[in-house]
Amino acid sequence: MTYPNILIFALSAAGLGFVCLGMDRHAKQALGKAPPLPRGRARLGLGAAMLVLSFGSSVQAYGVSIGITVFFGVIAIVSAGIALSIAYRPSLLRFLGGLAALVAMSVALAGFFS
Amino acid sequence: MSFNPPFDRPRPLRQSMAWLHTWTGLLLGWLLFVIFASGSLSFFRNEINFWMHPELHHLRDDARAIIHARRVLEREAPDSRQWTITLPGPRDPTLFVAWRADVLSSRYSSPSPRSGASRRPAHGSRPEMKRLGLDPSTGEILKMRESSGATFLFRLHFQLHGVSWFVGRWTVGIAAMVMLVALVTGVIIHRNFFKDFFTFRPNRGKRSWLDAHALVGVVSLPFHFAITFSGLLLLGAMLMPSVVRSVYPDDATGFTMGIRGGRDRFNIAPPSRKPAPLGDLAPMVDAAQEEWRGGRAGSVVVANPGDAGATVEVIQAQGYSLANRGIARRLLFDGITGKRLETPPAKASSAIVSVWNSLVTLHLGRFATPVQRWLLFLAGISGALMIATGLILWRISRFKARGPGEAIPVGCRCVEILNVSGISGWLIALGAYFWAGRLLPDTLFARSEWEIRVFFLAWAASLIHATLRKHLSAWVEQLSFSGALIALLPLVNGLTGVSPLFRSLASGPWQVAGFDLCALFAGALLLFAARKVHLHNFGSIALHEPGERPLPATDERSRRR
Repeated sequence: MTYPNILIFALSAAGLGFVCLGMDRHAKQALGKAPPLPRGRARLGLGAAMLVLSFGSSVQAYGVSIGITVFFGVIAIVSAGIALSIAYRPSLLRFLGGLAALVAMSVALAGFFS
Repeated sequence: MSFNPPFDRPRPLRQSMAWLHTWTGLLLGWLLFVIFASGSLSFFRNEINFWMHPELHHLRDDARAIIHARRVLEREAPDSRQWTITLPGPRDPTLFVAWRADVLSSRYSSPSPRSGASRRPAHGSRPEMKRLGLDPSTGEILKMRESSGATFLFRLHFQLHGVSWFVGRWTVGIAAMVMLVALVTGVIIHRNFFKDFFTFRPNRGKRSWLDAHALVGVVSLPFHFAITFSGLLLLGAMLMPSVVRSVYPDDATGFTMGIRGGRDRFNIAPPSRKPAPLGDLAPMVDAAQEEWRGGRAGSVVVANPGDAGATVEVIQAQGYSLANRGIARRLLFDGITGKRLETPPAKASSAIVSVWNSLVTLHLGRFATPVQRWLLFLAGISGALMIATGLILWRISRFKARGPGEAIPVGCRCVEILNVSGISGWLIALGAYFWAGRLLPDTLFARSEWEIRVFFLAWAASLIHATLRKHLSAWVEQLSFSGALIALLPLVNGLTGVSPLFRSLASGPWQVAGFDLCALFAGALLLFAARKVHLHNFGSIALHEPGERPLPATDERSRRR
């Protein structure tokens, strides 16, 4: 049960991190400047895609009903965490988002090859 | 400041909704806070119960529980028609045995003349059950102390206390309906739902409270909707009895049975009346666990023990879907030979029943693995925080809207008092309740009643304190006191039990370690909050004449200047 949990969590964190950095105000807070429009859009798209993947892996691991529940629970915690990190340590977000993406990728690869 | 009802002239939708949100939220906010907070704690009902019973902390499961259970049942209830064995699990190491107290012969030889005429069929009534807690490694009958445990918090969550269950459940039902109204209006009046999704701006007075309120509300909005709506569904048959009556005019149990998928828990096949020794139970449990590929067996139901027609049903500890009511898989065995019996395939539940089941099971959280249980708990806490921040926001808004030098209106003062005693006072009552649970002597008459009395006495004291003290001082003092009470719980546990934190962390029981760590964390958070309010209070006093009541609004302005 640990493996899908980490995957869902890391994908959500990376996804919401990208969504957050795709928003002008938060990008300014975390990176110092707003991204040009296409790059912001790309971040939003990438984030949304990762969220879809997170949702998919949750449903795959737990079935539809529990999967939806788990996904929304994880989303809630991750977004609260992101909001707090922007409020107090905006520069942390870049690091954490990258880390989450890295973990998500490695867990997904590990799952794929095992 | 004049009071403008929203109906005196046409106004934009959002403004009317804001009015509705403000006043419905305020009126039932304190009650909803209690419901959400105690409900969230109820997700950890077993763990809290276990913590409050230190005489059980030494129990260890050595996988021989089923043998002891059978031995005790054969001794205590040889004539019973049905035994239920609840195996020790990771959440509770106690072994429970229960049996139906109605004896075979009396039930079948002479049906009482009244029962035929009774409108209520016999299958729906719940037979009397007897229950014993056992040490899983010795089979010794445990003498458990009398404690209300987490059951009190659980009942408080849906039927309050001190009023009849009917009044209590109706009140909670109305509160849930109001919560739903507040949620819908809250979404409507939230200006930038997605743009402000991650927004929290600290240290900006009312703005920060509004951000916090919206943040905890928005991030777990799906949970808030689901939990409130499913709570209404759980009370639905009581709130709208005519709906049930229109379909099941004679008998409401038919409704319950229909929802449960028609399974009748209390109706057992009649015995063959030929005695035969019951087969070994342990291999049946093993076979079932093998079939479920590691899924743990949670309970074993033996029907007609000692009879040639005995059957043994092994039930999985955890459900795997919400749609079938989190109902676990089960296997049926012949009680004499231990052979697998064919079970009639479970009827697939209809779409309506599936939706009902999903929501209700989500609310009860029975399906949840530890991680999922934590997610549900945190979502519930975020609901409690949303309500608390909303209540505080109401007070800050009124306070700011007041002109300079104007006295605080009585209503606003009442809200201040209820905010302090409803939020931090409830936490004090909770801490006092846990203290009482561990410190009251075992020999005390009506001990479990006394635990509850301590809870309400502490709560009443907090109300008096909040009335007598200035608002912010009351916050600081009550937050610090509740923080201290809760943070010291591990110490109480260490001094009055066999599993102090250093030992439980090293070698279990982990439920106790988990409770202690959570208490430490929650206590630290409350102390941190108290310090924040204190600094805010103290900081603003420095900007005013000594003795003058600080105004957060002017404080804001002067700091910006």
